[in-house]
Amino acid sequence: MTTKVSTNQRNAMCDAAVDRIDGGTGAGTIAIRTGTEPTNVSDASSGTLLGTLTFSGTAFGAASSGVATAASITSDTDADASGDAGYFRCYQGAAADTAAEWQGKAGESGDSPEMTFDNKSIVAGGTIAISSFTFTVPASA
Amino acid sequence: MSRKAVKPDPTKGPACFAPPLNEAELAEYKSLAESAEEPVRDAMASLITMVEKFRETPESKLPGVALETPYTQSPFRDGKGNPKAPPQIVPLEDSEVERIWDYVPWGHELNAMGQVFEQIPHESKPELRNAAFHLLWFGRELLLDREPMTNDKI
Repeated sequence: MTTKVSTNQRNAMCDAAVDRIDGGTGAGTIAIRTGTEPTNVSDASSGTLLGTLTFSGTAFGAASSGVATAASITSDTDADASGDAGYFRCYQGAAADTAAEWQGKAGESGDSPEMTFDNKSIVAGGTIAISSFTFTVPASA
Repeated sequence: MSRKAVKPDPTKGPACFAPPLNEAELAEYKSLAESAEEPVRDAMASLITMVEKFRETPESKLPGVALETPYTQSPFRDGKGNPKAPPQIVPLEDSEVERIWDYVPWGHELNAMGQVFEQIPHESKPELRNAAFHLLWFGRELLLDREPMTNDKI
């Protein structure tokens, strides 16, 4: 049997999750790395760091229908290395493994990722930009 | 059936707006490719041929579509950090798509090249790795039938 939650519950869970990004020292960050994501968010990062983007001071707006939309994200205008984006991690403050809050697969639509780009190749010195980012709590689980 | 399973989508953009690739850099990439081992050499050579073919004609004159963002204030910034309009996605003209068709690898071929290039160690061969992924980036852009969205266009 599937557990279902109300929209109020979804919004509350969503807000609680995304508000944690604001709990560190300084704005939260998103790191994009190569390779397959680690099994657990608490695991050490793997792969090559391609770049790091920075959330706004208040990273997300209030959730609606279980979806929180990130406020403007500051691009990384000088990518650290070249490679294909494999996964991302979101952090409280700076990108340190102990501050990781969630992670997901990054890639193109054919990769069935959580973070979708239409070109997943990243080139050192390029600008990594995220034009839209949402966090969703589903209606049932 | 169209090879282009994914058409330019104004709601999404590349992960990375790569640096432009000038003629001197392309010549350097050729040299790096020639000194690389297989299968990196062949993959880079085919991508270099693709870039050279693409550059034979002027840029597309078709109207662009602004990359959509949900924000009231654009997340893109100018050199002084001020918000600026989102970049434009400019589709290639049909005649250009047809002209370069045989030179642009399929998506699964690009992914296979990416896996090959991923084996290039960035610690000991950063120039070769950067060159390979820069060329791969162009391949992924051209597969989308659009003018490559280099970082001078944002």
